[in-house]
Amino acid sequence: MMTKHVKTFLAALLLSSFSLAFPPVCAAGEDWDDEGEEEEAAGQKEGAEKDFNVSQWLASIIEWGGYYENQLMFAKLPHNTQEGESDWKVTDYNKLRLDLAARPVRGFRLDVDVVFKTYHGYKSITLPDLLPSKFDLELSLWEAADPASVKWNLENEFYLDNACMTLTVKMLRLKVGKQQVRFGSGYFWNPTDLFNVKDLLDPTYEKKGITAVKAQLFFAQEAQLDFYYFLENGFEENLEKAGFYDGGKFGLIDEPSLAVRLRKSFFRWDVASTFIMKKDARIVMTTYAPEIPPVIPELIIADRLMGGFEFSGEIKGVGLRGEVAVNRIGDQERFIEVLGSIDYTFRHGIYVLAEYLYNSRGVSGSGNYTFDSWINFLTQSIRYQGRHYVAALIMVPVTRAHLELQLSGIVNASDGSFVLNPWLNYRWGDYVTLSIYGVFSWGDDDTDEFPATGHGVFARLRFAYN
Amino acid sequence: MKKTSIAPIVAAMLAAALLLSGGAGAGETDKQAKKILQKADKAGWSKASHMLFEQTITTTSGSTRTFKVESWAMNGDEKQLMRYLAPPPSKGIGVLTLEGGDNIWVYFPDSDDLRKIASSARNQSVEGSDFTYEDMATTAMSKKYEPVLDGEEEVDGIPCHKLELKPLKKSMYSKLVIWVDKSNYAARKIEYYDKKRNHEKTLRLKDLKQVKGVWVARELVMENHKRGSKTTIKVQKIKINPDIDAGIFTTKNLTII
Repeated sequence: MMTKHVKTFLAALLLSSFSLAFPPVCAAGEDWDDEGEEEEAAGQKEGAEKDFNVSQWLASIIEWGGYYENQLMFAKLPHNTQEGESDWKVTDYNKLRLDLAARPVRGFRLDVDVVFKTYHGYKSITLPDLLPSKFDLELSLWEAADPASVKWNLENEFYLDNACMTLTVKMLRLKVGKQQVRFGSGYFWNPTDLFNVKDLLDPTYEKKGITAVKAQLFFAQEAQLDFYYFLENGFEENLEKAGFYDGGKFGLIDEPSLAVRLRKSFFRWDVASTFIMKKDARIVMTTYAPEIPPVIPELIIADRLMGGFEFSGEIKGVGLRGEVAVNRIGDQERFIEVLGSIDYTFRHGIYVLAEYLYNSRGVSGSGNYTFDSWINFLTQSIRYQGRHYVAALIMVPVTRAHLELQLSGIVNASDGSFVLNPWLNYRWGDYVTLSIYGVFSWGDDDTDEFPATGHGVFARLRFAYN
Repeated sequence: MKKTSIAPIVAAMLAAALLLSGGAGAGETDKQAKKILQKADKAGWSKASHMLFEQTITTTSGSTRTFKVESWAMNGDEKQLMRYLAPPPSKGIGVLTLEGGDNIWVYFPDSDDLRKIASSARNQSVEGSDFTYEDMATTAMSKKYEPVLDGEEEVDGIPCHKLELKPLKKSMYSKLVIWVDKSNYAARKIEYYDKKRNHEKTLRLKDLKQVKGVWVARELVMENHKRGSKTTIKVQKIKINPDIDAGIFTTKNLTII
């Protein structure tokens, strides 16, 4: 994967080499009305008289920045299957990210992020720790047949992210490479986004880029048409993000995906229509014989089509958002997902938000969750098992410049389980942020969905630079 | 013949004259107040502007946070585009407001996320500062407030008209008091009163300079008396009435970084 992104970035760099033949465009070539204008003009004139210096020019067009982050996690998994070990696990990660960007000529931009992440402490995840105990038999048989399938380790990572080039010419913008892709207007859920895996407990945390070619046509006032050609399906990314990736056990799925999105603003409303064609990959557990529980995973790939609609707007200052996604998988499966969201900012900046999600493919009652649905839920091949979900959030700026408190709660109304997620964000000066958050789930540990998240307290410290 | 006392008649006439003169005087005063406020709007209004400024928030404990922002505006503050240049966590974030702040989009470049946000977000402070989005929209005050002339006072030794402003539409404040320079009609000081009529904040406009006929305060200091904090905006560079294409005030341009 790293090799693929390096190739993408180098290709972009080669394309930009033509820019060396043209004079560089100054980042701020305007005349200002204040006294600084004369000094700046004098400085520019003096600079122009010197010989062109490549290294100085590169230094002037390349921007860099990033952050170092450390997160310490104390987590209690719902089922501790490691005999003799504590229920509470401690895991820590260090993450260093370097963002590089260059604008050699007007309208052209190159980006690449370099990420290095190391894990420490408890790194071994086992499926029996996460799944309800009613599947103990299936898990033990699966583990006996293929021990590596039910266990995996958090591995250190070193990769390029968001390695892409962007070209903007009048009404057209082209972006090629690994890039951020965003569909949907919801905060906790995005039914119209089939490519990103969102952490319900930290929905705004950065997501890895997706390798794609994106062409945007800005054809009218506040109207645009976007075409996407995705070079990756996303399934292996989901496995990786869920921590299940084990180097290609199910085989790489390099089937491309396509998406078209039309966005328009009307008065104070933004609306968008999205159409996606991709491969849907799902794990189905099969069996050798009827008397043996199904514990042999098989990957079923089918064509998936999604037609979606989203909107964002307001009435009397109250924000209203919504999404509808109509899906067809293969010839048989049809389902719809609907999201409604409302938010408001009160005086002194207190912010509240509430969302409701309906999933027609979901089931009522945790008794109807199957081994298959659990495996696919944990790999995020399906986002949710239930049919009805409700979430709410309140954010309070305690001191405007430094301290912010937040509390969110998510309920699976289909099985009655819920999770509370309190946050404290503190900013030291301009470069340091400390976030402390908790995850507290309730429900039947043996059957319900949210208890699989367990309980935990996390402390994240981030130092931004440049 | 019975003599009729003229005293009540004279008293009535005097009372009527006083009322009429008071009414006429009050009417003249209101007109004068409106005229002063309109002149103040004109003194600070530009068809377009482009500026670089630094915003420093000083908390009660004395710690500071500093943001560097580049902004473009057209027709006063009817259209505004702001881009954060520093510090790193905020770098690249853009805010586009149209229709005087009733239509707002925010762009987060790290996630390529363009979000339309409700206008109630104006109740938030701008990046944790003592300015709200309502405070930042200081142009066309004559369309947003009803002024009453409240005499004259000096601000930093400069003779000023003093006006009391009542909001004409929904506002966070019950009233504002503004001091307008008598010589050039530039605003020198504004006091903000909350819904309970407590004096919540004071804005001082300093280092005034006339640029292409427009009076620009190169330093704005907002003191929050409730919280004990202060926010200072220093204009580093400014261009008045530059050749700006109205097309930059679009979400397309907002998402170019």
